[in-house]
Amino acid sequence: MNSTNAQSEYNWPDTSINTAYLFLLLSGVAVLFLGNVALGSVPIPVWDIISILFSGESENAAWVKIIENIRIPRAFTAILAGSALSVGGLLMQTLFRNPLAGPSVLGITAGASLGVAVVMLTAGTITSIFAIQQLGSLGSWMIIAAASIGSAAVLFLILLISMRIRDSVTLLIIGLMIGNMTIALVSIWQYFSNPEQIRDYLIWTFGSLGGVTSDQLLLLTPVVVVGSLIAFGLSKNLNGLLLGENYARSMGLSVQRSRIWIILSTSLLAGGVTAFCGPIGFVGVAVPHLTRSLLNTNEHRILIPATFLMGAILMLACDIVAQVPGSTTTLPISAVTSMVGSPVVIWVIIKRKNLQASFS
Amino acid sequence: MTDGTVVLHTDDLSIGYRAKAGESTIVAEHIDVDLHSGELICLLGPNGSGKSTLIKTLAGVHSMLSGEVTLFDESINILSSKEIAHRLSTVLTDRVTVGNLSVYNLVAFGRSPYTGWLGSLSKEDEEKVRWAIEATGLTEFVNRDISKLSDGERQKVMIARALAQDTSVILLDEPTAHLDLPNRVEIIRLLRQLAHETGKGILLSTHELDLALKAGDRIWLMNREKALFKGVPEDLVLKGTFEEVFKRDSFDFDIETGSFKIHRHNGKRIALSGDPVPVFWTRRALEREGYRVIEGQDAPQIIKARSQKGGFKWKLYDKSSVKEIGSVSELLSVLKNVGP
Repeated sequence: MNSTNAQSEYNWPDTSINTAYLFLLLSGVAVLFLGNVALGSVPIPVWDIISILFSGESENAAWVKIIENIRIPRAFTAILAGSALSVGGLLMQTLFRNPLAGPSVLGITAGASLGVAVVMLTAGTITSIFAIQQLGSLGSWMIIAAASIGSAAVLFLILLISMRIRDSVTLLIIGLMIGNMTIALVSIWQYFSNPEQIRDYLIWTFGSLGGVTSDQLLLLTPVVVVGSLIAFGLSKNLNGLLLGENYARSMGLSVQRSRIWIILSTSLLAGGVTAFCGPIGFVGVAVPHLTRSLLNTNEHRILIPATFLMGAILMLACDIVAQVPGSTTTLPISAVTSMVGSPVVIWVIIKRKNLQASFS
Repeated sequence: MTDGTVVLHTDDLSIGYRAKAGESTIVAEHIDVDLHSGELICLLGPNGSGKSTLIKTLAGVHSMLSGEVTLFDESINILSSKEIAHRLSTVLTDRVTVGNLSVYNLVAFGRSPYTGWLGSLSKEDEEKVRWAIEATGLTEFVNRDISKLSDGERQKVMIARALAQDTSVILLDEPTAHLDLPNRVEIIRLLRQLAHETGKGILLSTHELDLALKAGDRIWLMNREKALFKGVPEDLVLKGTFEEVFKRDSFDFDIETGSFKIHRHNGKRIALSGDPVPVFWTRRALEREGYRVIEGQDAPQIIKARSQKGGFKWKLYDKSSVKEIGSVSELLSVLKNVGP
């Protein structure tokens, strides 16, 4: 009000979405995608890979099959899984205003596991475990739906508790306990199922990016895209929630509606990916922090696309490590993500010093 | 100062909490108040009198028990939350501790009620944000991370955010809590200036009796007996409302100084006169020692304080003697030895 013209020409920050970093991250995804496809137990020269990728032709027919049927679906799954879990984690951290929230921490992936177990083990008792696979895409939909409903149920339960308990550490512990209870429920179910039926489920729990077929990808892709678009559309509400629910409300944002959409989006993202890839831990917690530190922003219009791409980058990189280039061994992907993700969580705790002060 | 427009009005408002069984705890009732544009109102009251509940109820964050709150003659029960956000903004006691967020971004969140679904700022939005930042004197902090600000600076950012929301009413719940004295004075001065210069109606709750009495155009005073008194600060003091509300066993409102008495009188009377500056500080020292300080001559002991070149001098007149004294500490020790 007492501003002079000189002050008005102050170097004000630009609030429009800066697309330069998006291109940078996008090219990072492209490079790692190529690297991910190039590396594997069978060595294939880079030039052949590029020609297969772009023209679908090569002198070696086996290479074409490997690339098209195994490696590309796998790398694509890595992108989807990484970005979906990361965006889901970001939503959780903002909703609960808790830096340690994430799909795996709050028991949401455990909820998805329960959903999957229900479908796999029930179907097993009725006919055979292979019945689901024979159902083809219908079976895939059933698993996605079951996993999403399972995660939504756990998320909803935690949300109900979070309305009564404000303390974020307590909430985390409750989330862990609910996760444990869900897993216990699954084990009881396993105990009464016959060993052959359990086998498929057990393999699923190890987590894998390689088991997803091209047909299943056709289902998973729209689920992840829709979930992410919902998240991006929530940017403004998420920004408001950063200041707490009362402030969000005072700025005319509907907190209740935002919550429901956030749950829906997270359930689709975390549930969908968990249904096909199994429980993959720590990506959801770690990536949002890495992105926030890297871009130094908490503005969700920027953070959501960036987290999406960072998640893809991290998952592609983890998958390259998991394939142990130059050998025929493959490590479980969740083991690798935990090795990468846990130090990030420790770093966050040390940096924050006092977690009870929550989101500082 | 005020152009008389009523921006916020309550009609027989009852505030409190609804219990599950259908019974409700009334915190305050029969509240009929007006907030005019361009005025700063301070809401005072002892702890537990319901200041916070009233602010939250007026802001539409907390539901009222009965009665009506209107913004520009429209009930907040009818207005949508977005419409309310266009007319009324709040600064709450909720601590904002988010990191990785610049001052500019946070102030820009205040434009939420006006921006589209994604929250992108238009040129007009940007102008309002910049104005809010300039008005609160935060220009040098625009790119600073919120988590790296002091409490006082952060409070100003929250006020700037409320300003950016471009509302006719701003409600602030204890904006000076957790701040040191210079910051408290600065925040209150800023709010007063904003009210008078921009024509906003500003209501703030506070425990700072002194500041409120000096800065508030009017005072709303809540007591523990569910009532709310309103008026110009001085009227409330002279009518004895303050004394009544803040009456406690060992803690009284002092009508002579407009603040709380920390020390009770020990029955000794002493007369004090002289130049204003030494008299003011001598009075404080004497009151701390429990004297009842009066003006004039009607006391067993009379002190005359004078400003002189190079310092201050006191003269203590006893029944029989006159003593020349050079400092307050000397005066106090002499009084202790002499006795009344």
